[in-house]
Amino acid sequence: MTDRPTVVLLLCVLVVLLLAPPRSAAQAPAPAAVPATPVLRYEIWVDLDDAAKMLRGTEEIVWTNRTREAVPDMFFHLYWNAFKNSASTFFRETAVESVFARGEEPKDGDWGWVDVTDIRLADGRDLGPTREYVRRDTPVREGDQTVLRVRFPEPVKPGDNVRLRLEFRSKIPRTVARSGYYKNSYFIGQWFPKPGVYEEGKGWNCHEYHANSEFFADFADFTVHITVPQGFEVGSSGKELTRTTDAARGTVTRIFSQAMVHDFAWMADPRYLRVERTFAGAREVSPREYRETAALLGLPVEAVRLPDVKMILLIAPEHRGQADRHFKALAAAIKYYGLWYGPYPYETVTMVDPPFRTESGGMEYPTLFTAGTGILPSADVLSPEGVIVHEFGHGYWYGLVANNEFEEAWLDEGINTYSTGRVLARAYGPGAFSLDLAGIPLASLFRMPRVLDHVIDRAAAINTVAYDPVLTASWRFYNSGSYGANVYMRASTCLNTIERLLGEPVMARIMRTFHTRYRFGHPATGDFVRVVNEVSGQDLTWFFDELMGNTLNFDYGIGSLVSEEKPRHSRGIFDADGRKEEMTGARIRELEAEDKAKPAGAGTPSGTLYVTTVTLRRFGEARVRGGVGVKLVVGFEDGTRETRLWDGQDRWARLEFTKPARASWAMVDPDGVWLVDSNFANNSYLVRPVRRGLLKLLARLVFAVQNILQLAASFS
Amino acid sequence: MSVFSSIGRGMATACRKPRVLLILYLVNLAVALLAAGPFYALAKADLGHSLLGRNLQALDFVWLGELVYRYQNAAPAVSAWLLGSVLLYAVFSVFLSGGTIGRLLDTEGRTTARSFFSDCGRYFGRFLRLFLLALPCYVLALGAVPAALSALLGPMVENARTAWTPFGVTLGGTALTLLALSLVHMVFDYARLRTVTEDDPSSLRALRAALLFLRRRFFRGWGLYLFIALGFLAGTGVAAALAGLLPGESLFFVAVAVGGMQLFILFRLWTRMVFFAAQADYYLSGHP
Repeated sequence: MTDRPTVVLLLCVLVVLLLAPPRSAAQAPAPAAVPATPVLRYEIWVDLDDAAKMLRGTEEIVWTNRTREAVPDMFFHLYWNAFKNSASTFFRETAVESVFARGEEPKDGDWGWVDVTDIRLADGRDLGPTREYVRRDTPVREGDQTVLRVRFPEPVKPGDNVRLRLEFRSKIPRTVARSGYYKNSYFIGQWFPKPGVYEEGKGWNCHEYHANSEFFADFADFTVHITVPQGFEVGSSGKELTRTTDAARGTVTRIFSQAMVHDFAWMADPRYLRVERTFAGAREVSPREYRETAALLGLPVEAVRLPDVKMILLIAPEHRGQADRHFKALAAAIKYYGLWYGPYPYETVTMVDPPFRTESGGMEYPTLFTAGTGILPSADVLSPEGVIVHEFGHGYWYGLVANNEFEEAWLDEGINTYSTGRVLARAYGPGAFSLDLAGIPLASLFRMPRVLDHVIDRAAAINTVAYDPVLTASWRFYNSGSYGANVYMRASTCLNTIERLLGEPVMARIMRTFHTRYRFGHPATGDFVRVVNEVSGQDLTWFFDELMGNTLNFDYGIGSLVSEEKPRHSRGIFDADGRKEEMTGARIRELEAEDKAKPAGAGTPSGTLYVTTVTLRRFGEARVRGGVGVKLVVGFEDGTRETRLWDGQDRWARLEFTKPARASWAMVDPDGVWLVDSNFANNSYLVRPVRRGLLKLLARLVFAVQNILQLAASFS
Repeated sequence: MSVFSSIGRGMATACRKPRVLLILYLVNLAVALLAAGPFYALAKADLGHSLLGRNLQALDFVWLGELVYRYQNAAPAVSAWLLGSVLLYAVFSVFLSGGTIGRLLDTEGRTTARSFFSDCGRYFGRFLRLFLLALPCYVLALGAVPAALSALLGPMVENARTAWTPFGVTLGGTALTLLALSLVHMVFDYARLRTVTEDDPSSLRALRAALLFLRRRFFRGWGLYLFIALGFLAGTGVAAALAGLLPGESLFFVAVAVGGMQLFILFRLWTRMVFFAAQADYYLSGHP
């Protein structure tokens, strides 16, 4: 139980903390320019053999040792070997998957693989004999060949660089995990031998290709020469520099280049349409929006001004009518991500409507993303808009702030899900739920309910808490459902909770600061927590420990609410003038009758008083900490309200209010801060029972059942 | 005999039998209330004193998410309860069909609860046998048509160049399955009608007679059936559109919405009566 002075003190502390300007980040910094020298440089030449479904490539790599350690070896990701056979880590994990894609393996002839046929230093020394496949993730899958290690003749000294030349050939899989072909449509991702990330003191960070995981790589400058049969449209990461036709071979070679990205993907399809438009910051963002954003972030207007970006859309002919929807969504994403987190630093962004059956419905790569759509999209459902905003957003969270997706996927998926929800809410408002029959959209006809993303995210978040902490390595989640619900939705729900706890302006500065500080870097969860604490001026480490590092359910609620008339006289034995005097029931009735008989103002009590007792309960295991507390508001019949703050540490607390009116309701978390709370129903207690809402529910429920029954009756 | 005049007379007959409609409606409502009861009790316990209950939306994902979280282990019990209710009602509908057809075909007598349930009891055994005969036919229609289409068009879908091909096949397959179901439905409707008109206890004879009747008038008979089905679909579309036009959540509009829902159920039940009455008219015109 908390006494009133303590509550007042806690309230004061809370108010001071919330209103105080952040100590060290009153002004969010402007984003850094693109660094001049990344750790890696690639030049790749690749030929697409359409008939054999093969890639043949040559790759030159320059890797600079930026650590203080001599590095004796190099680890490479050979991701396509995940699709080589059923002994790979990828398919071993898929085989025991319990939610999505359980046991799905390619059909005979559809497997894919990559072979490094030659690897040597620039001076010609052959590293081939040192090649070995390594498996360091647990449990160890002996058959996996997705990580290759080579040893250098002598270690690479700090500050030195190493130049390698690789020859590789790859069998393109019939699409698995968003890479591969269908007929002569290709989506080519994770295709070239790619070094891991060398971490000082830890060595190479180079995980196997896991079923529930995405990727991690160092920033690099890429130049890629892609040769495809004549007539193929090509979309790629980066900017196209030149195009050369070889009439004799019937091929076209396109050269794409991009600085400071950590991956490179491309697609090729002879049927595809290419549409280009320009995002013009001066046109898309009003002066007022610039001023408001600058004021929100505490920056000069010039620091939030957005540059022009060339938007490229590669779209299937059957979807050409949707081009405007695609560009509108992409422009909204460029605008809001740019305003909130920093201008998009690259010249181009390529949006790919993934070729039919290449199953790359939504996937991010630097400066390129895929966003799947249907042939009859509903006007009311935010699809493909949602996936376009989300995948472009990964250009910021994964692309620019390049966390390790193997180990801490929430840092991009969770932050980006949170960001996607904000952009969609701002640009479109709530989207309708999808409903279709045999592919015909019915959402508009049946006026499906519209909801904001955070509502859906929360529904998943509260249902996944028992399985895994958000802070779990991607391949260690219970299943793909837990992985998805945790790293996307529970993480997003936690971020929305922090936003509500600290307020939108503070959260905006947190996100801007985090993005700016780690743009072109590899931050970890600790870095994010430090930024939150620094910008907010509060220590919220407990929040991440309790709600993201644990599997604790968060649920505060009202246990009971009772209002009773305060008796003016108490029964029993009382000491009076040195005697024991019993106040009997009969005597109390006499005194009450006398009180009533006296004229008003003749020494009678001013009015009836009521004692209201509210029992607060902590139903869940998770606790608020850091002096944050749980707010309680009690409303009384005379229209007055009382607010208290409970520290929320014990399992319950009982608070009393003596007022001249009965309580009519009580509510914890009246401001809706704790979005992560698993039970909103018990957050409030109304003395008068709810009727209309429940009758409406009953009417709808009965109507639904009546229709189901009648459907059954039609067969009898 | 025109199909449309049979539909017109069927609608008129259904309109002249409001008591049949009332009985069907009350039974439907009672079973629905029984089936929905536990869920309502659960909602009341959860939301009866909560602000969330006061502000509940039509499809409230805030509450639904919580409901799933708290009662995820109850899913088998919930499914069993709903499935049990549906099966019970399906059998009960067999029973009610006797009263419905009996009263619709009795153009002279008044419809009373006694006469209605007397017909229900009289034809229940025969209709139950027809229902049991119909079940494998429905399973065949639901299983065989998609399977045949898959075997026939599977390679085309497998080699599709664009999403239009699987879309077209799915749409066509759905339409064909529905048409197959409508055929089974229609044949057994005529078998039931024949059972009542001829007062013949043999279900097989009734089914044979229905098939013979339809063999001579297949397209007209099917056309009649499909016109009524299309009318029902159009009515459903109109009802959905009208429901969306309701502007507010005030008590008045809530009452209008609830009334609208029940009117739709009445419309559904009335359509079922029109099916029987129009097909009966058409059948009797072929068997004067």
